[in-house]
Amino acid sequence: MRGVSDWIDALRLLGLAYVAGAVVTGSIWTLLLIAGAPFSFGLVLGLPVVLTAAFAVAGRTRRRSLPRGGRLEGGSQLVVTAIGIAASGLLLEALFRPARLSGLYEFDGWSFWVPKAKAIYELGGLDEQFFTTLPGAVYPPLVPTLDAAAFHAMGSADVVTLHVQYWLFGVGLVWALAGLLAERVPAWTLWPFIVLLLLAPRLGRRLQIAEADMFLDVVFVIASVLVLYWLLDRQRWRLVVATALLCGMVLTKREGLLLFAVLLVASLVASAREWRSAWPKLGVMTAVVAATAIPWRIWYVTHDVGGEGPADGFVQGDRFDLLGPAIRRVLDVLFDVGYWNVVVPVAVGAIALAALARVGRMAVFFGTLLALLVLGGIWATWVFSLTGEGYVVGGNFVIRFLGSAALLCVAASPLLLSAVWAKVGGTAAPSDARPRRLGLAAAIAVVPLLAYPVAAVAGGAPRFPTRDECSRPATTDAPDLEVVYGRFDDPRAADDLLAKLNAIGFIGAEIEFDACARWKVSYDAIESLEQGEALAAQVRDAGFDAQVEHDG
Amino acid sequence: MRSSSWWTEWPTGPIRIGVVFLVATATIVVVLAYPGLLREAGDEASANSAQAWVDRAVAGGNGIVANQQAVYAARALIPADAAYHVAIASDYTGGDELTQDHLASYFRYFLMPRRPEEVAAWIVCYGCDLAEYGPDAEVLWRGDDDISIVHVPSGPLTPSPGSRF
Repeated sequence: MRGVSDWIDALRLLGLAYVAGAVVTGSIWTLLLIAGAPFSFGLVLGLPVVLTAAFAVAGRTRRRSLPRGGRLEGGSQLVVTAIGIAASGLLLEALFRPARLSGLYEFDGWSFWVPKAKAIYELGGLDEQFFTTLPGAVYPPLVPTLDAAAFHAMGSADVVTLHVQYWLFGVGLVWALAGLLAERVPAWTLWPFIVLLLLAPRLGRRLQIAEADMFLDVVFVIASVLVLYWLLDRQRWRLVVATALLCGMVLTKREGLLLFAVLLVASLVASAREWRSAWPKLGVMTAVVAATAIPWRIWYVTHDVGGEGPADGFVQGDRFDLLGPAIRRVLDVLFDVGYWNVVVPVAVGAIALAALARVGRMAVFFGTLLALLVLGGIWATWVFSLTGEGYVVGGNFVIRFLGSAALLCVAASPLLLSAVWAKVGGTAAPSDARPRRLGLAAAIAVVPLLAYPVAAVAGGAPRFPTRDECSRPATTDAPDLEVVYGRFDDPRAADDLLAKLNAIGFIGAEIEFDACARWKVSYDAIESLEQGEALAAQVRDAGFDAQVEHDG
Repeated sequence: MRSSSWWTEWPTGPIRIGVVFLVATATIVVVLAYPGLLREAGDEASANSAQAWVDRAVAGGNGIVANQQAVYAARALIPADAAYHVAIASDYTGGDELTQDHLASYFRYFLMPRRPEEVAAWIVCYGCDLAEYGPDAEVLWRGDDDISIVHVPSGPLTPSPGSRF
């Protein structure tokens, strides 16, 4: 829809395209589900195909051509970009490894996010019983819908491999953010912050968590950057994509409504001087986002699910004693380097420098947005906190919510610092004057990204565990030999087999629950492979299965 | 190369120094923290890879269900379109501190699309008095830790007073 001038431009915006595509497709799936459409494999496959075709036709109609050629800016910028791509790419590769075989340990993940996804996948829609009784019933179902789509694509509700989808969202975030910021930020300012994002414990280490928080934060921050860019250059596509992302945001979590309100107010404040031209368009954006948010709210109201607001009202006069602790808690969390590393203090410093340098709208936008996020966090902590013995003010909620503020700081810092630098006369030399160093940059970017997987594989080939891995045929030198008569998903089938074996004289076998979650009927007093083979042959002659295995 | 006055002239010099300081801070933190994350991710990948299949599959339930066999037996025995009830005696001492409060929730996740109900013909019993389910109650599986899976062919029963869902 935007059109891309060359392949470099296309590559830069590919991350944004992925995130926007996932959000738009997920939002439409979600709205269809709310309308009662069955969530079938046909819908999972068909909608992206239809959307791709529709956008291709629309692009053609608007005379968009395929990208042609492309020229990289040379010099040290290119080398620093290559280092940044290598550093962030290497971390993403490293984070892929634990994500690939991660069990579903996150409490909210198995408590309601993934159960909602399983309900959509197994039952084909928003099953009334599960969607009204699961914890977090009020949360909109966009993320579970994306999970259910992944289950369809995988052919089963594979909650282990599901983590790879979240890792892909993380790749999309890094790519989209780097691609967007690179428009206005020189490489030496951009890449330290992109890598810092991955290194912040509550950001980078949670990219593959099967919950909706990071997804919400990703969408919010990318939409915020797009809205800011629109305020600065008024390119319409930016506001269109931001609106699409914000529609997804209000279908992700109830905090999405608060985040949207915060972003809207910051946008209104930052565009106050041009309110005649900007505010009507922001009004249209608000109307579209509201229209997208309403169907889910109608669904849960008509299904007697409690509301998204605080049960005792938005201002609670009897809880003023909690206000002070709420403020302290929010500030403690916000500046806790154990959660966000130095992301927040650096961003606060960048806002201060931007104010001193009179950078203007960008400083107003990020300053207002960050201040409103903090105020929103304080308000939510104040009104939603559970109180009493054993409860900490804000609990885990405030940490989750402030993830959006921390991620915003990652985007704000390089934009503000580069704007300040340009304002105080630190402009770089013209790019054409510099040597291009394409070969060096390519080597810097590619070699580490290839070397890391090679080094990881050299340390031991990657495992692709299956449920059959517990069956290990014996060899002459294998330890702990046993003759296995069968493995069963149903414990009654194991009992039956054992009874039959006992009845015809094969005494001594036992039933054991193996490491692949099957009931195994086996005889383990085997001294040698020959003895095991002889016993197995006798059992097979009697009409049963038997195989000599080792248990080591 | 910039002259020293470029860095000290008022008011832009200190602002320039501030920009360089903040970018340098971020860069130094990146350099210091980078090897730690690589190492941490590698260690976690190794730990995940070394896990037994069932430990990875049960994952968050390992600290809740007391016995992994119980969830797999329930999945094998209770038909996919049936309803079930998870009953845990208030004085049940198996499992760990999360078991009492989160057992039913974990079973709901694990057994989907089977439906949890207050009264059902299929009962997952943790420390229940099985006699309370009447003479028709058939114990289809009994595991360690005083866990049973019971079917009551005659139909749903009211859960025992000492049980909870």
